[in-house]
Amino acid sequence: MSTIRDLIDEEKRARLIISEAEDRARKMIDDARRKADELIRNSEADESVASEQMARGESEIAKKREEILRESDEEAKKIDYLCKRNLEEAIDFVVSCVLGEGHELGGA
Amino acid sequence: MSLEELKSELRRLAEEEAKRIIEEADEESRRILAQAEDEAKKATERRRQETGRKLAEKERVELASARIEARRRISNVKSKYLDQVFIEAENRLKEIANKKTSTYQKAMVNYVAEAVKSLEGNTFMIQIRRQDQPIADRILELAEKSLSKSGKNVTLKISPTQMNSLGGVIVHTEDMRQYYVNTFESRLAKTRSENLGKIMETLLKS
Repeated sequence: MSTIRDLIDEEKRARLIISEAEDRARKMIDDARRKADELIRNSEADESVASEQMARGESEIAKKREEILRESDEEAKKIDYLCKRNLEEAIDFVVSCVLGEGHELGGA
Repeated sequence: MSLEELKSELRRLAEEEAKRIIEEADEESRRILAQAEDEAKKATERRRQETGRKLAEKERVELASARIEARRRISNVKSKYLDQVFIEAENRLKEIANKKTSTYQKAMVNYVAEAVKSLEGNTFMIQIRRQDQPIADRILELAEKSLSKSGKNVTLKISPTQMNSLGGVIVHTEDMRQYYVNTFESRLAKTRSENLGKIMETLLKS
């Protein structure tokens, strides 16, 4: 048969149960905060994603640069071909300009 | 309520409270971690955007530099041929002048007439090259005739000062207050500045 003393003991056990639960809850929250801090810290310090993105981007830029220079080299080759072919005509034109109508360079 | 029932109720309430505390802590932990994951994602996204901005700037600079380099390469080819045109034209003019061909003599007459028409006065001094002395009288005679036909009667004299030039003439009044430079060099320079577009068009026509 329970006595008042048993009731007091039971109350102590009840307080202990709650106290242990509170301790465990604090630990759970502390753990969560520690993990959260670590997660954010790691994320901010993680260079791998940015490095990969930068390397990919730089490679794309290099390709575009090469393409521009390749096109200009092709254009230069075409110009070289046309100039070589039309050189005589251009020389004749200049000579005829010089021998043809005059122009004033000096003055009073 | 008996003492036994009171004891049971105490235990039940304690266990219930403990369960509630743990559940709340669990919920709080999940919230903390979810928020951290969200922040981590945002940090990654910020970094991605920052890297994207750096790349865009790098691309702008690199491609602008490539376009300048491309234009320089093309421009070098055009300049090379333009210079070649004038070097070769100068060589041909030298040859024409040195052989004193009829083309050269005709050009000299026209140069003198053109110069005189643009100057005021009746007597003009003509500076020529030393090498052109043998054809000087003939050129002056033809130039006077040509000017006379166009209603300008003038006296032309060979200047005692000889000019150092590839060919052509310099015409000036006796008092030297007016002059007209009609040398190959001046005409080449003028041709280059006035006809650059036409020359390039000729060089580049398909």
